[in-house]
Amino acid sequence: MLLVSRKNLFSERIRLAISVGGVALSVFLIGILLSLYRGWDEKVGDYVERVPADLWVASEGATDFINAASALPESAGTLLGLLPEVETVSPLIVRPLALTKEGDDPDNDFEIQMVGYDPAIGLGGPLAIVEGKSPPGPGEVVVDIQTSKRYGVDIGDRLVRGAESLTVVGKSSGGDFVFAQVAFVTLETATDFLGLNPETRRTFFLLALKDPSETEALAARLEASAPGAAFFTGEEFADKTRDRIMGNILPILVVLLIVAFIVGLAVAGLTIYTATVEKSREYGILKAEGFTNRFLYRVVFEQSLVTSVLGFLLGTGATVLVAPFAQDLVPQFVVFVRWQDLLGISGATLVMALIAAFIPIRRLAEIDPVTVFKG
Amino acid sequence: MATPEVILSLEGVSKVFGSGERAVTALEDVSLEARAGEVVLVMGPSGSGKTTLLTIAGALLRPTLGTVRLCGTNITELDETRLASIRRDKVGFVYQSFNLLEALTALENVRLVASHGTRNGTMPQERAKELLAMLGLGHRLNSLPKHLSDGEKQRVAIARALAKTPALMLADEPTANLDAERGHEVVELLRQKALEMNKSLVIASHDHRIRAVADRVVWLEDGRLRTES
Repeated sequence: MLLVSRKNLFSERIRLAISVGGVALSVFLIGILLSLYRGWDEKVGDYVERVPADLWVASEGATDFINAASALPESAGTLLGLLPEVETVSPLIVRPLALTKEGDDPDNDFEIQMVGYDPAIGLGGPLAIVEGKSPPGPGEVVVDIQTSKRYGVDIGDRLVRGAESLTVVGKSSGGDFVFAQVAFVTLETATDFLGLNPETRRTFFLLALKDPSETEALAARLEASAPGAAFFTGEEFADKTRDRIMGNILPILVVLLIVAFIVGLAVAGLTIYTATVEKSREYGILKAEGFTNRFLYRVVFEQSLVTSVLGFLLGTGATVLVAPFAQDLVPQFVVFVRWQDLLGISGATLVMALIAAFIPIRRLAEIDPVTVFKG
Repeated sequence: MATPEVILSLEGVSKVFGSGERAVTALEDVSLEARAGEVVLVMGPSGSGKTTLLTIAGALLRPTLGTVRLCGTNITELDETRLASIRRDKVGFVYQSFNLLEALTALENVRLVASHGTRNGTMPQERAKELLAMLGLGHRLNSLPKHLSDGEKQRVAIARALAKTPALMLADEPTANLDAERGHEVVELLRQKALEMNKSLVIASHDHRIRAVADRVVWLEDGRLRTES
């Protein structure tokens, strides 16, 4: 690093602190927003992706797990079970609903995604049990661990909806969709609790195939021969579920990311520019002494680069340190810090440094060294 | 004894700022030479064109007419990059207001220029220390300009001008911001070092007290060279 760059930068500590702070704030915001996006992206499709089903069958028009506007007759499951490629068929009843913990104010309700499954088959049930028992019996429910943490639901509690209630008997993990979590009951409990009519209606059928390599071929064949039904691979269904939620969040996130970038750029750019203007006379002296414009550009760029690197380190450090605490305080604040994202942010910071250094270049070029002869 | 080499030569130099009715002639048909080991004092009232003469001689400003030669090179037609390298290698400036970089210590101010200019076999750090010690500032190496007296600042500026081992030294009103005693001391020092190192020294000033240091005095009035003594 050039002597002039280093000295100019560190002789104005307050300006440096403001500049580094601005870049750090920007990096922190970008880091947190990206981590939040990654965290949500991972969570919202996690359950669907991890359920060991090769094919998800829904009624035509149903697009994902959240928008579970799917209704299939139980007989469809029987027909699917007759296919030679199919090993297991598991019916699911999925409904979003609001519940209250017994004894709580009815206004303190919370959203869950109720999943009724057949414990005898198991497919589509809890991914992992953290506490208590599974499968649930009649009138019993296994809630997600995040439901327990966020709403203080514990084993033995009763969850109420109107005149109906369910007893919590277990806690599972892997069913957090951030804004709601899955809660598992048996098919019969779901039918009774939701008052479904006719009782034979199912939301999805999960298929496990004898040869999973035939999944896509079978889906295509069924798609063509079974109008009124839609067939998705597990990965495809998980992606569509993610897209449904993240597709709404992404535009907002992009705007916030751009704003964060502009904040960092504005602070770095303005401080570098004002520093350059204030030092115009000194740059004029350097020109008079035979230093070229290129040397002066380098001085400014190095100051901008060091400011940005310090801001990046501070902002990244804050992201890595603050994210877990934020997650503890606000359970919906699900973050996942990826090194690839940090690498991307370092690239954005470098762009920030380049643009911030570019702003005063014209000013530098215009400095007339003759002016330094004026007392 | 051989005649000393001509370091600076101005032939029929004129400088006009602006154009048309608003044109201002700062210099008109000025011819001047300065040789190695010679001290030329350019005197004249404020606005007479002294600083313009110095900036043209120092490859900072192009004349409107005429030719400027530095160490035999016609610098009139050179591009900005070549002019910058001429200033870097051949010209040392001493300014009225010292013009030190405020964030750099005395040593760093001199070292910066020493490391940028022509190498003379000595490391920039060592050369900067030597020069500052030679100018009586060995104990102020790590002082920032704001902690130096005006006289000390001007001595640092002289060390900086010498750090490049220039052939030509140009001093613009070097005593203007100094009291009589310090002013005389600084000009005497400039002359002494210029002679020791066989530099050509051109001083622009309206301070009559420093006439004694000059080998030649040139009078400039309204941009014209009046007399030489």
